[in-house]
Amino acid sequence: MTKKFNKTLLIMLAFAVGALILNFILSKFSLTPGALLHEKPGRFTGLISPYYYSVLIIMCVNIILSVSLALLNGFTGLFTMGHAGFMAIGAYTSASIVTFFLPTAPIIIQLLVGSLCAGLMAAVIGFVIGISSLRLMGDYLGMVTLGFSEIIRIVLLNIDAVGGARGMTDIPVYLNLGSVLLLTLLTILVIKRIRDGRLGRAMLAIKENEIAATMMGINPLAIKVKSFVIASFIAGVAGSFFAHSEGYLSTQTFTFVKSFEVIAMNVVGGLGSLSGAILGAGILTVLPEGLRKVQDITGVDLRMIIYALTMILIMILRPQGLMGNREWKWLSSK
Amino acid sequence: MAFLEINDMSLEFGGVKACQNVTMSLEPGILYGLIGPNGAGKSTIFNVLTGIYPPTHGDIKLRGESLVGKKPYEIAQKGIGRTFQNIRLFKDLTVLQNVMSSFYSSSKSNLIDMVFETKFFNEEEEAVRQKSLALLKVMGIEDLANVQAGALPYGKQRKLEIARALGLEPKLLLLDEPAAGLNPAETRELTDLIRKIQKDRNITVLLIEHDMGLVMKICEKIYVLVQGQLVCEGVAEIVQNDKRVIEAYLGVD
Repeated sequence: MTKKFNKTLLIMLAFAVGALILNFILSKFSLTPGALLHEKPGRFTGLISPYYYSVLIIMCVNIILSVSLALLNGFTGLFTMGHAGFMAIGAYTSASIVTFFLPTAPIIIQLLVGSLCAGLMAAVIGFVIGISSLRLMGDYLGMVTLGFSEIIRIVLLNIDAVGGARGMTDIPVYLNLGSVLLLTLLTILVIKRIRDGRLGRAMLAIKENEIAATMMGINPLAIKVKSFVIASFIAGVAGSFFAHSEGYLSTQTFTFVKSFEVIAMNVVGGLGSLSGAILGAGILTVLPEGLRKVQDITGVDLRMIIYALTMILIMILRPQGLMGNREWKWLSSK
Repeated sequence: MAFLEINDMSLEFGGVKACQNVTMSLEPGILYGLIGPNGAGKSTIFNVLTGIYPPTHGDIKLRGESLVGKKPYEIAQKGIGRTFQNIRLFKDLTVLQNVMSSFYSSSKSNLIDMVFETKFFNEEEEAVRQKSLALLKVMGIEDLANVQAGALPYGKQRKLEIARALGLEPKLLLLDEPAAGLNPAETRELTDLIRKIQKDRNITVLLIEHDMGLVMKICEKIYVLVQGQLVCEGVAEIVQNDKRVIEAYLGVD
């Protein structure tokens, strides 16, 4: 048993060290998209083109968002429509802290302090919103969370210190594909373990039958608030990753469209499946970008039409989502 | 002092009197039956006992402590387990997960334990797993542990519900029509199981059932509820010969 605990710690340490090493190597090749903004395109000497590079980073951020929503929507059965709000809190918190207080600190400090503060800030606000709105059921909860996320966005829009409507620029870029990829894997691992533990069982029980769960001595409100806070924390961290890989933030990124995008990722992949959340995020990030190639051929912008048709087709042909209730082997509970 | 006391309890929904002045007192380690025609308010009594509906009047005391105003999950944690008339399993979870979920309030591993899979977490998980498997074995469905609960045949679902309620390690077990929808052979088997569980664990059982054969065979004391009022209580012979009970079930000449 102790052996297993040490193994887990080792895995996590390996993740952290691996992220730092990859960060270092990739930054030597000036592969970070932030660096590309300031350099002439001709000087780029990377393995992947900066375009694919940034698509991959966005995909990782989306996967983190999607799995954190899976915790709410898929496991606890809470229909929330305000995930972009928590991402925004995380993004702006981390960007402000690093820009205003730690502009010259080493990368590791920026990374740790930035993402941790982002997560905590989102979790605190998630707690306040959760306590006040989680007594609502179903669609009502969706409406309230949608409202809160728009409030968050409008408040950020009106803070001049973070750029207001102009957006926040010159955010230190220290994250690159390697580190984001590893941190994404870490997030998936954490959510998988929460699902397989006592808390995850209680969440699933509440989703399946709230009355029966209550009769088993489970406090539904407490579990809902817990999962809301955890999901907010992770969404905040995803926001921080987003901010420090893009280098620029605008409140326009965090409208309710973003929240719906994340819900769509969950639904396309299969509600209640962690693998589905990952797959859905991957597909819905890559699909609109991949369709740019099609636009070159057709000459007209059919991207959004094809994108929408694909989603409709998936919903007609596989209403339970691509993965349904199943999981990939490495994510299944046994 | 009785183990569970229901004292002059009434429940009204607007003008509808679901229960009127119900007074019951349950002693520990005895198997009680609660019978009555459809709509008499039997399940309502269960819902009041488990805190789903707060009573309009009266008091309910578990070992001298009032349960009125307590949240349903708090009452469950005090050791009142129940099953449902219309089965309420966690259908998409496996049979084993269903039972394991009822150990939630008695286990203690926190978020850090879960994420790092600490020694404490692993030991606790294993203990819960073993206890759950033992409960499944008692109910005779341990070979179905990894099957999805919704895919079980009806009779097995009833058994699983009882196993799940036992995971709370209840002092009082409320069974709401456990034999409904079962064939005679299954009913006989379940009858023996209920009695065995009750004796082995020395728990108090309150059982709602329409199968009179089952009730008369195993219940040590029977309460009869008619239109929200208790009309009779006692051992099987007394109840069977009570005029009001016969009237309620068969009508008056």
